[in-house]
Amino acid sequence: MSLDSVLWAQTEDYTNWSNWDGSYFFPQQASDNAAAVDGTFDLIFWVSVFFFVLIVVPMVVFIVKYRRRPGYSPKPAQDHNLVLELGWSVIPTLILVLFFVKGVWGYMDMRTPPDEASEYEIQAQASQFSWKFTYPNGTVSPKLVLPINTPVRFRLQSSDVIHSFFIPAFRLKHDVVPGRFGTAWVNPTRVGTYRLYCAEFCGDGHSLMRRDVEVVDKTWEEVMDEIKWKYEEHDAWGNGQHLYILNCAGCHSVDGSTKTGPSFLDAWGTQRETYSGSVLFDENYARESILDPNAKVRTPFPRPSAMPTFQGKLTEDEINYLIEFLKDPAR
Amino acid sequence: MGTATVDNRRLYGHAPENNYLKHTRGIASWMFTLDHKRIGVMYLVGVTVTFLLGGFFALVLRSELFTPNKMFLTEAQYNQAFTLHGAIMVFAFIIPAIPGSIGNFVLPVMLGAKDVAFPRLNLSSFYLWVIGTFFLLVAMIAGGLDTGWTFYTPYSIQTPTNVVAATFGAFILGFSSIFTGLNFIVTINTMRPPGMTWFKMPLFLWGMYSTSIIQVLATPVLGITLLLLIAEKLLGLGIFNPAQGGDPVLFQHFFWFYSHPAVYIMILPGMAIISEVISTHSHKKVFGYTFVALSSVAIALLSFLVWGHHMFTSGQSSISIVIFSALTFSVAIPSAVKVYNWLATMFRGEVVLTTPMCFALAFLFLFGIGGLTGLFLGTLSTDVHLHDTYFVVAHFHYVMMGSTAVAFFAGVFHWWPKMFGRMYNETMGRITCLIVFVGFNLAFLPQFVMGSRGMPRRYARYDEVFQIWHQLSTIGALVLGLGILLGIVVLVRSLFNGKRVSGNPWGASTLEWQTTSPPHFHNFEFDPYVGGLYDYKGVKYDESVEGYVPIIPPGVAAPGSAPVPQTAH
Ligand code: HEC
Ligand SMILES: [Cu+2]
Ligand SMILES: [Cu+2]
Repeated sequence: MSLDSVLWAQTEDYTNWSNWDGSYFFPQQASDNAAAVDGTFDLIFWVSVFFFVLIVVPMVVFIVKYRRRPGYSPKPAQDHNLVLELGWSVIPTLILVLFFVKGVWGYMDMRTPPDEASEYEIQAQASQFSWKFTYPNGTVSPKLVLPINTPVRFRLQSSDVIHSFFIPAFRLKHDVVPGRFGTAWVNPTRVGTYRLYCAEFCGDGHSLMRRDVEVVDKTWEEVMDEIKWKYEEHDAWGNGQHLYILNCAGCHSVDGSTKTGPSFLDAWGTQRETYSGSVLFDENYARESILDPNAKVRTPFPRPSAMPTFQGKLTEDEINYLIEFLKDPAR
Repeated sequence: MGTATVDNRRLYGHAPENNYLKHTRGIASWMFTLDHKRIGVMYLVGVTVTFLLGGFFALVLRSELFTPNKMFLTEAQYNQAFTLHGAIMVFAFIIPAIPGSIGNFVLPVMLGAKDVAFPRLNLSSFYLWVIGTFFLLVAMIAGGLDTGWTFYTPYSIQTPTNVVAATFGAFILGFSSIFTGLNFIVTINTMRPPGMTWFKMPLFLWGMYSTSIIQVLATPVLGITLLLLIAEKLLGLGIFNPAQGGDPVLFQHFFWFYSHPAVYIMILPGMAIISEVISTHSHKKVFGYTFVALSSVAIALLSFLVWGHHMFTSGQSSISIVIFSALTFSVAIPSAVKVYNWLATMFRGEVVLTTPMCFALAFLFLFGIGGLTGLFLGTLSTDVHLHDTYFVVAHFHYVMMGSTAVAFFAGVFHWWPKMFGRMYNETMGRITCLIVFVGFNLAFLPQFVMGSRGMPRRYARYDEVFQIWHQLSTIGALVLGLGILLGIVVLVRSLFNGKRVSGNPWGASTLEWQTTSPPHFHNFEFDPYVGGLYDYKGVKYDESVEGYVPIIPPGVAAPGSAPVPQTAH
């Protein structure tokens, strides 16, 4: 199984533009707020079309009718008209008040979670350049799976720069600002696979922070049981791959391409050039890189290293799983 | 008619000698010139260069987006391309373009004045522009820049690219902008000719005045913000860095407190040009003059109160979000109403589809779309979905490129004969306008669709469902690029073989048309006659000059009939 398919797997819907199954302007409505947003959008759209026609049609008519030509001399015209001018100030103003009120209404609904939503809270942790979800039972996973018709709250956290949590099918977006918690909520109403994007520019891999969001016809208990990663059910390499996806894939590829950090492909056992001389990529070097990235920084990557330390974030077992994976990442 | 002792050809004709281009020669006479017209021309050349450079990056990044996966740029290179595109276009092109080039050239002549109030300040503003742009280029060459033109913290603190050089460049460009604004405010306040009261001032001057107010009041905030960012990077102050207890959203507040008003620094001069162009080429006074004039000032003042609409999703309190949404709608009204005033100006006019008029009509169309799509973004519930998607990208390109830049083209084509005394090929000019119009819409209409479908902005790679829209957009961008190049060719060619024109080829009524083309080096050899504002009956065609000349009412001394007051240098 290729790693890409785990990470930013293109689901059926996204492999071909002709498979678009949303409306002309919007993706599928997969949350109970989506319809309200689309309704407001449509209202503004048709009012705008009306006013746009009111610009273009007179423009064309005037060009034709009042163009300079032999034998044409313009009739006298007013150069201002208070009633007319007040009219085209006041009528649009009233319409804008309507938009404003509808927008505020919709926004308040989107920001106010129903009481049930507090039962289930998923912690969404954004970092350059991956997402990590901590479920109510403590399971940590790179995948976002939600049971249908169950309001859920998100607690948004960033471990580095600003990201933004954007799920178009839910019409949901909230910035993920380091140093403060953001909250968002959704009630998914349609089974399917949707997209999660990072919408705030966050560095090199910004456009790779897209993931699938699955809405399934199951209960919370079933979802959490399914998503739970059980170390004892997998071999060391498999556990390592899981940890890699959670923690390292944003910066290190396994296909030879350089992201923020070097690729792990065929790296094991080779000599690596660092600012403190050449070192062998072995268990010790890997461990040191994970726990103290600045001890030996690879050339030509900038110093201090962009890599965060994982001291205290990974257990001894987990580091060993990762090392097992690093030995042969492309297995 | 007054008895003129000087003939009309000398007053209103083509000036082969004795004009500002010819009266001194040599490179030094340009570099150290204090003549606002020469400074305007130097700005025109300068902003054309930065426009081409910014446009180059635009085409590079649009080409990369032809396919969803990597074509020829890595993610890091792509991020640099869009950042440099944005930073160069905003700071080194759009903000200075109209005030620097057309404003400098036209504003004093429109006032019947000899120069701006502070010619030395004017020249230093140009050189600050050069130095600021130089620092942007330094950033580009030494280390690059990948923060987006908005420099959001904490990414801008973290990135190894050359944020310091770029922000320092933007800081200096800010001073250039302040100097120009200050100069214009003083010039308009103190140097209006006798008879030109505030409400007899051409709308171009109202627009420039409003712009200048924003430049002077808002730009210092940007300067301080950028200095803080530099200090943060070099000294690790920690004001914006959450890792040190700072607040990254504070940076956004500071940044947009300038950059939203800056949107109006960009668009108000464009509107100012459009008022002149539509009136002149429809040969009719602007409909609702007072309203259009005051709406510029209203926009300038309201623009300071809406910056929070850039942060609807960054976790501000609901109450402040609601207030910012309401204020945002309020600034939409004066802009929208202007459009109807311009349309009504054409009503029962005498419309001539000259090249500048074609651009002005394109402006009305594009500004209509740009303005109306802003409503989706001011409305809270829809903005949450649309924020930071291509919908926003399309919206502000309709306003910045489709409106401001197109108005700039309209202005350049409108005043080109005045600046250089030559007429370009009108047919080619209109074809240019058509290509620009088609290319622009093809480039940006598809972006609305992909944006509302969920395509985030600043993405080097994207999901294949968006591919068709990206491809249309890329093709449109290339067509647009061709149109702009053609426009430059048409203009430059006219310098060599364009027909020589008289002082007033369009039959315009404002003062800058009541001198020779190109203007005398003191703008007017003799003080001009200030007639009625936008009084197109006040000019008549004169065979001897092959252009329009003012009708001097009986009993009024014609220019040149009184002794010329000698001005001390
Ligand atoms: C924010 C980006 C980032 C993340 C996340 C990250 N790294 Fe790194 N890593 C880097 C960079 C940049 C370098 C190169 C500079 C250096 O040597 O520190 C690097 C270097 C390394 C090296 C040395 C590689 C070589 O070729 O010599 C190893 C091993 C490594 N990282 C392992 C990991 C592991 C394991 C994880 C996940 C637990 C991880 N990194 C997460 C950015 C990252
Ligand atoms: Cu991002
Ligand atoms: Cu704004």
